[in-house]
Amino acid sequence: MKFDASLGVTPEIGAQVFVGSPRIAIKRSTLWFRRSLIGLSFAVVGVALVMPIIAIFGAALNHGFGTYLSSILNAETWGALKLTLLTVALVLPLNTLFALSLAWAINKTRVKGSTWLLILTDLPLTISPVVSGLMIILLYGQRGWLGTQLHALGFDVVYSVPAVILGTLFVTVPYVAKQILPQIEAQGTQLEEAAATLGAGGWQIFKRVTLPSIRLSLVQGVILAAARAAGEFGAVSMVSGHIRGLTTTLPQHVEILYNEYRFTAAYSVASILTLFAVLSLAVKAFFASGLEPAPRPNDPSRRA
Amino acid sequence: MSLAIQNITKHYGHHLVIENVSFHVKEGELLTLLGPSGCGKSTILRIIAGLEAATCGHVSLNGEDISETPPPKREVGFVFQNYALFRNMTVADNIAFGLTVRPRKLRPSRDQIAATVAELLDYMHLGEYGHRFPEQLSGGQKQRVAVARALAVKPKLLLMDEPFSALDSEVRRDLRRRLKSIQTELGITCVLVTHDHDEAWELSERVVVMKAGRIEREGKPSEILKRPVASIANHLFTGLTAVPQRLTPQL
Repeated sequence: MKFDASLGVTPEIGAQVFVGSPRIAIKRSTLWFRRSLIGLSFAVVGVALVMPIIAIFGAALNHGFGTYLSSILNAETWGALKLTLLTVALVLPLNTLFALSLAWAINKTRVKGSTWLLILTDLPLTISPVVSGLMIILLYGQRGWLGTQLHALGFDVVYSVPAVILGTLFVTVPYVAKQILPQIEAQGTQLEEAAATLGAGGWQIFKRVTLPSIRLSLVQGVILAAARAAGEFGAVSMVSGHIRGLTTTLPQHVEILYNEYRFTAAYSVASILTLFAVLSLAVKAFFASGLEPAPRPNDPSRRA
Repeated sequence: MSLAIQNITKHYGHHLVIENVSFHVKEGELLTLLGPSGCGKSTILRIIAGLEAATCGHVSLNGEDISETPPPKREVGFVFQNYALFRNMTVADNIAFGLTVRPRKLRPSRDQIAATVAELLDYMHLGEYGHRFPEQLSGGQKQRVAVARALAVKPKLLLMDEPFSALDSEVRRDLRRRLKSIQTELGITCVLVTHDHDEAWELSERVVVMKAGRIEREGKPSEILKRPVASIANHLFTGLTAVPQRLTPQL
């Protein structure tokens, strides 16, 4: 740099002038390397992610907007959409509750065996969803351990809506927990300790210190879990029984339509799922951008 | 409030962190636990606050054994090394925290809380920062908020874990003096933990010198400096190439 300055040329011009020198040659190759890496990333994202999304919407709207609407607005699709939304609405609170208690158990109380709990939480991520579905049939099916008991009480779980919810719940268990645990771990327990020395009890500490401090990652986890819950296919497919309009979720509805060669309809329904996925990503990105903590207007000390 | 630590011992598994430590802090006194990092001084502070349980031994406040009392009920103020301010709350909300979490019966009214907060902000020279969030403050300001937050609940005892270590030297000197005057003015009993010798000599009425989980010396700064133990002599002579084997009493 100094050398370049003494010649009265900027580094950029210098680079062009002294192309032959080895230092510049290295610079050039790293530049080339960087560019190709960036190019590759964009190419992969473009080919593998963006093009398919465009293709889905293209295929869905291929026969015009009227056809698109009519293939979405019918009783079967409506039923599938309702079941999907119901599943998401039931699975999310349960998952969030589980994730929060897991996080609490592992980080705040140092319970023995919590490491095992943490490892097992990952199981749904590593196991095939089809196997998850099979496990539910084994447990809750008419000859399953729990299924026979429940049947005696008049409940049949498998091939009905509860099975769909159970399957989705199993598959989405890790999502919220995986988002909040690293943040809780990184924060340590000092804030909670400070709150305790100030006289706050367990619930106050959780509500006023722990929960706000993990707010952002919690929201992101919930969004990821929602997206996954809406899109779950394998496990649900095993246990739902494919009763049209009753136990089919949107992903299954897409498969049914496709297998019946109703391609435009399949693409149209798929576009709803895609839209949901893109929207949840947008919401997640919005929260990931890190909002300023919002001041609470109704706090007493504010008037000080 | 007077504080008594009796025969505190602490193990982490097989590792002995504190071995049979006892000392007294008189009402209104500022006592410093001085020692290198890892000597167990912070652990003692955490045991006094109830954040950690001693393997054996007792902590008593004004003669009353509080060893089994949970931290929220001890009424002991704690200033953490990194201040541990609540990031999602304003400075004013941070200071008010200890009052707003009280059960309804014991909670002061909104106006009373607001008045207390205003008073503390003023007292700690934080007047215009009440609406800011902790991340918008300098290190020295954060420390003052942490002290104000601890004082807001009128604790029986104020514990401070290396409260000046995260500050640059100029701010440190200034805040040290301010803290001392606050402590004298309020007459609050105070235990300070530090590895900084100057801090210990300047601030405290009495110093407990610790090494490897045990008390090495205890006394007034002047007494300790008159006949220093090896670890302190080492510090006094930093800069010399060799430390004398025997130190003369006149030192």
